[in-house]
Amino acid sequence: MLFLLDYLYTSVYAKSIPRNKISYIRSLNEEFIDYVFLGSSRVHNTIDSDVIESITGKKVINLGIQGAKIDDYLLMLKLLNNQKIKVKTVFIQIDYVFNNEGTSMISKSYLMPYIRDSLISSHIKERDLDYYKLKFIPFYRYLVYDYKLGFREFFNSIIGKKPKFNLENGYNPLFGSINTNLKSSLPDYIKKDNKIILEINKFAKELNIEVSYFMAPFCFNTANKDFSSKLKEKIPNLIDYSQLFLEDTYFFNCSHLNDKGAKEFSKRVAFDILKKNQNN
Amino acid sequence: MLFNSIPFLVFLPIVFCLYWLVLNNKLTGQNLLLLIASYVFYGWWDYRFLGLIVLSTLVDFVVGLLMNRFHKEKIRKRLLWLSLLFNLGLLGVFKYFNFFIESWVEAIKYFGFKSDVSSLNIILPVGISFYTFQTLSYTIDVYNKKIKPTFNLIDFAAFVSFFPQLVAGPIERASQLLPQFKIKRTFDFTVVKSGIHLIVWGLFQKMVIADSCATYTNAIFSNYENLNSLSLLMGGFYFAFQIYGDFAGYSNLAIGIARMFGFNLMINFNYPYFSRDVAEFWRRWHISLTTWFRDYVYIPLGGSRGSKQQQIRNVFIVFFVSGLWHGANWTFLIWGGLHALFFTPLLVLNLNKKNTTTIVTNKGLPNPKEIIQIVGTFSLVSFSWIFFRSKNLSESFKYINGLFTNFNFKIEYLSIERYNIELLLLISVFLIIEWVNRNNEHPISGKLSYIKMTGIILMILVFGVYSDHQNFIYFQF
Repeated sequence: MLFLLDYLYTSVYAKSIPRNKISYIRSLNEEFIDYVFLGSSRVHNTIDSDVIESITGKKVINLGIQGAKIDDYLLMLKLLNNQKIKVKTVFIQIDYVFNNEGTSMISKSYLMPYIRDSLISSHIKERDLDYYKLKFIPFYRYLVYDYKLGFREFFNSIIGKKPKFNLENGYNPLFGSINTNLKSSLPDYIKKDNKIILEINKFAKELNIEVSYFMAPFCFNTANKDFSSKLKEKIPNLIDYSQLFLEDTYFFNCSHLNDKGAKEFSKRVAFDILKKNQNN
Repeated sequence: MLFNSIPFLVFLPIVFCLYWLVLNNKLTGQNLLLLIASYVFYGWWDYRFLGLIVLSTLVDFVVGLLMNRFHKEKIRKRLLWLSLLFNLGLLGVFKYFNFFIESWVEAIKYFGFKSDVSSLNIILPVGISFYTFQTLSYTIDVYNKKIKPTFNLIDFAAFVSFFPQLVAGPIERASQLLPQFKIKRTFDFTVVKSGIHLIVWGLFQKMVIADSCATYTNAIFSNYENLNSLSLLMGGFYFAFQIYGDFAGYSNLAIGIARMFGFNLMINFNYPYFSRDVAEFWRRWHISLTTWFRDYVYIPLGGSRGSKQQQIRNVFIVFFVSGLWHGANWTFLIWGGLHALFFTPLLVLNLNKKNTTTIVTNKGLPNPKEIIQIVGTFSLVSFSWIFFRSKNLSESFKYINGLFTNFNFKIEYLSIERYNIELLLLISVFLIIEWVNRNNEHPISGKLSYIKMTGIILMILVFGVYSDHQNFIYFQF
């Protein structure tokens, strides 16, 4: 029963239309993308690629994944390279994730159907103590990651249901605001360093990809705002947008912009790219 | 140790093999093994609280022996009081101390006074409400001379701590369970098979129904202020099935596991959501606790004897105590009070014993009147669950206010990236399975049981919740 279910799920995920950003990258081949945005939901819900494309005239994709951590960004870069996708500049959203070197559950969920792919296999093997169970116990990976890969996703893949957002753009807007008087807090300490960032820089350099780090906006009532200056000491070329908007109307919650805020922010990023290109 | 965990998956076959292969026909050895296994099972969760079970066991064992030795009523009564004070004292300290202290401080603050009394950081030992009630039933029954005390400490200790039902029941009576430790148990494949069927069905109720509902319930109750009426309605509906699947699932697991060792535990749930009135609901929901309160609280208070006012008073006392038994929170008291309110009209009109048989035994579907009765009863019960699920009374009232004032019944996308009505199909399938099997102990029994069991296992694998599985709700009680 387990072998049969494993075979069925793996086959369906391999043959269905892409429904998440990992499977979307795997469906691409030998393309050129000018600007790739990597990050967590603070990119996924914040960077409207269409706005940046219309201003810069360049090809842009938002590859932010909800809950993603820095290690996931590195994997995304490796996957892009694996699919022979050339990238000019990668924009990496960084904030409190600097303090974390782990991988996210959601990103790992998306990898599971492809655990027999050599790149993904070696990535999981280096990071997950359950690697052998995930790879060799039939159907185990789909049970462990059932929230994202369970029957619901399996069924949606069979019927070819498109995801709620356009994968070619990658932007998933949030509408409205969950409440008034938004509040949030950044960490009051910063790690000495983050080895994954060094790896990302090294990997990008080998592929001749420019890396640009930025910090997306937080609402005005954010505690420990000086975290951005601490982060700038670690990443000198960091572009700090953390206090770009002072009004709560731009926010869905304190750490996520709503659609109105995301569009404004994307415009600002686009104009900064143009300015930088003109200076160069 | 959870029934739906890897350690238990290793633990159970080991104990089962030792029990039937090594210690077969050795009654004392089997009872000793069950006792050790039960202590390991409990200690796996928190070994520090094993001492409480041992102490409770010793006190009630000695009280039972002394009651047998002394025949003077005065001494026997004192011994009964000792047992009551000890067991209820344990509950009072571990479960209710902070509740009463905090309520006292709030009350005197209301009248403008200050209090320096502060609450303590007390951890609630898992299953304390269950095993204390079980041992209490022993001493009360010995006092009332309904049963004779046991002279075998191993048997008694195994009865108190019997691992299948130790942490969340069913709460067994000494008269029903204790004698089973004294008779020789022989391996019967048919009985073991029926135990396995119950285990599989219990896992389905827990992992497919309860845990799926929990994902939605948690998302809705944690963000109720921003959701529309339909989502709030679904929140109450899903919690009704979460708590049913969770607790009935646990009970079936417990009964099934006990059966694998040759023990018969009482049925704890009997298709309660097909009840036609609240009185029938309480004859089908958490039967072991309901009958406990009936026998040890309601009847000693006078029960159905005396005037209607006295009967209503007794009903309110039982439901308030039942609410308090569930937890030290005003929400549980209100939940109990609501059920007393729902029950009272039936009592006044002598309708509380009207529906004592299984609904629609001869035909497939209920008639319109029965449908209205079932839906009405379910709605009342689900409404009361809002108090049971809420963290505090303020949250309950805000939730209910949102439910009845928002009037927006659009399908809503929740923070868990699922639509609020998505689980309806799964719950409908569950209800159909239950309806078709309402005259059976569980749906896997009867003809084609292997095929039914394969189907249920397949459903557990495909629809079960693994990454976000929840603890059994009743462990906290």
